[in-house]
Amino acid sequence: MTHPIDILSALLDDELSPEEHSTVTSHLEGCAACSADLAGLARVRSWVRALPEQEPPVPLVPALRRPPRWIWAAASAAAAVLAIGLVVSPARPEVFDLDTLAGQHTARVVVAPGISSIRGPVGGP
Amino acid sequence: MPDHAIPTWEEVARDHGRRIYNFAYRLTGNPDDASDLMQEVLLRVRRGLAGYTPGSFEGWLWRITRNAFLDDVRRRKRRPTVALPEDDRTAFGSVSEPEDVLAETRLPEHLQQALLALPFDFREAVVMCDVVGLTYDEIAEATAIPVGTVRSRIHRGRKMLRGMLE
Repeated sequence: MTHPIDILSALLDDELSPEEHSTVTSHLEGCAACSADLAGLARVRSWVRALPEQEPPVPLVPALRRPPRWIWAAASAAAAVLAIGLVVSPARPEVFDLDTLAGQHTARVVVAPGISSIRGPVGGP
Repeated sequence: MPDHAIPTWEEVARDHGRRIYNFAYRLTGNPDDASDLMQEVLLRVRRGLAGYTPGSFEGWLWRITRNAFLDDVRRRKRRPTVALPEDDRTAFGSVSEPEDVLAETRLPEHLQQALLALPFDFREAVVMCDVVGLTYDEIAEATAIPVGTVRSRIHRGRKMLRGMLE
C-alpha cells in the first residue's frame, strides 16, 4: 500500500475506523519512514497538549459585569476631554458684583435699619 | 454534561469559561484579547441559551466561540486566514537544532509562536483538538466543515508545527 501519512494524526487521536486502524498499524510494522513520521507527530501532539493552562485574568462569572476594554478606553477618553475642557474654559468668578447680580434677579429684599433678621418666605414682586 | 441537558449560564461560565479563555489565548497569543473574547462568548451564550435546543452542546458552544472570534477578527480588520503555503515547511524565525529546542524550557513560548505562524484554519483545528480536547466530529460541527477536512487540517497543522520546531 502507499504510505498512509495523511491519516497518521487521526491514528494518534483514535479517530480512524476499525478498518483504517487495522490497515495503518499493519503498514507501520514494516515501514520505518512512517513509524518515524508517527513518532514526530506524536511529539508535536504531546507538546501542544502539554502547553500550560492559562488562568483567566478576571473571575469568570463577574466577567459579564465588567464592560470590555474598549468601553473603558472610550470612557477614559471622554473623561480626558472633559478634564481638558475644565482646564481650558474660564473659571467662574468667585467674587460677584452685587449690582450685576441684583439686576439678574427678580426678588429683592429691602431691610429697614435696625432689623437684623427675617423670618418666613421671601416672595418676589 | 449529557447532551439532553440545558445548562444554566452560570454552569457554562463555570465549566467552560477556562477552556474558552485558553482557546482564545492560544489562537491570539494575547491575554487581553483572550479575556475580551471570553466575555463576549459568555454574553452570547447567555443570550443564546433561551433558544438552545438540546443536542450537541459542545458543537453549539464552540460554534459560538468560533463565530465570536471571527467577528472580533473582522472588527479589528485583521485577516483571519492566510493563503496556504505550497510547502508545509513554512519558514519560521530562528529555529535552533532540534535537541536544543527540545531541551529548552522556553518550548511553550516557541510553540505558541509556531501556533501563531500557522494558517488560521490549521491553527484553529489543532487548538480545538489538542488544547480544547474536542473530537473530530465536534470540531466539524463547530466549524461547519466535513470531518475529513478536520482530519486533514489537524494533520497538516501538526506537520507544519513539526517542521518549525524540529
